[in-house]
Amino acid sequence: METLVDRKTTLKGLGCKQIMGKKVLTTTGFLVGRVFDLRLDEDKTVMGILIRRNPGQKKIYLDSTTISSISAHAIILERLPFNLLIGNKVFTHEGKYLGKVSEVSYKEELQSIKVRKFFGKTKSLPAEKLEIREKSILLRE
Amino acid sequence: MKPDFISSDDLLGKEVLDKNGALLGVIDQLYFKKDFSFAGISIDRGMLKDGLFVSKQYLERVTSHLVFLNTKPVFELKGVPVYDKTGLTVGIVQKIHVRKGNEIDSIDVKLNMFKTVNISHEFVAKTGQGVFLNIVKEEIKEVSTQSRSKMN
Repeated sequence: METLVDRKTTLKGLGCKQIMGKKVLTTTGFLVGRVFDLRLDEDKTVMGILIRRNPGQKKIYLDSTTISSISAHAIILERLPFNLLIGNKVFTHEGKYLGKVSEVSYKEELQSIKVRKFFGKTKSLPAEKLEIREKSILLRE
Repeated sequence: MKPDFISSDDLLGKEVLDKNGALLGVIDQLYFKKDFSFAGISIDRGMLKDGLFVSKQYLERVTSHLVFLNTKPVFELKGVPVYDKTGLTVGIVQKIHVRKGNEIDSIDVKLNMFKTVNISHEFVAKTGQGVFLNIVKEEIKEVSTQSRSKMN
């Protein structure tokens, strides 16, 4: 379908300009950052979004599968980006403090994390053993 | 210590972790009813925050390092942003009205410097580091009542 469009015509869908700079939130209300860029693939679909965070922090690229909904006001994600687990505290099932997450490895799903205590050794933990909570990570029994 | 019992030493001074994995503070007091049955604990949250009483029904387990709660205190929501279902910022949580225990009855949302509205729990979709409503901003006027604190 082709249509001649003047300034008054409103088209369906959201324009890129409307989404740029909008907030990116998780379903629990955590503000991840703001939309910096949209990435399209050769099939003309949105592959993912690039998220701008605070000055000095690296941008995050998120695959479109993690997006729950898009509106003119915000993009809402299904889950917290794995990159943001870095710095979270890790406890054993018994509550013993193991350290903070220093590295995260993932493809589509989380695969493992590396935990490091201050002046301590780095320990790798597989994702199956982890119970990820909003503000920290617990090891399963 | 006998294996089936927990002594006050096991609880006092121990850190408390809520359901979200946030460290709330340190247990500073134990409370008992007049019939000597255990009622709950109080948590010292430092100099800048008020203490918190946690009833025994919200204690999940006690380990040698931490005390785990099976809930997240709703009072922690005070001051967090409120979003409508499209993600538009509506205001911030000013006050939380609680019905039995730790369940939200309604929240007072400060829309701007002059206006605060009361929104019932049935319009709250999800809570965490923010509050998500299941309505859009335009519907707030219809569903909200004037802030209770201002009415009183």
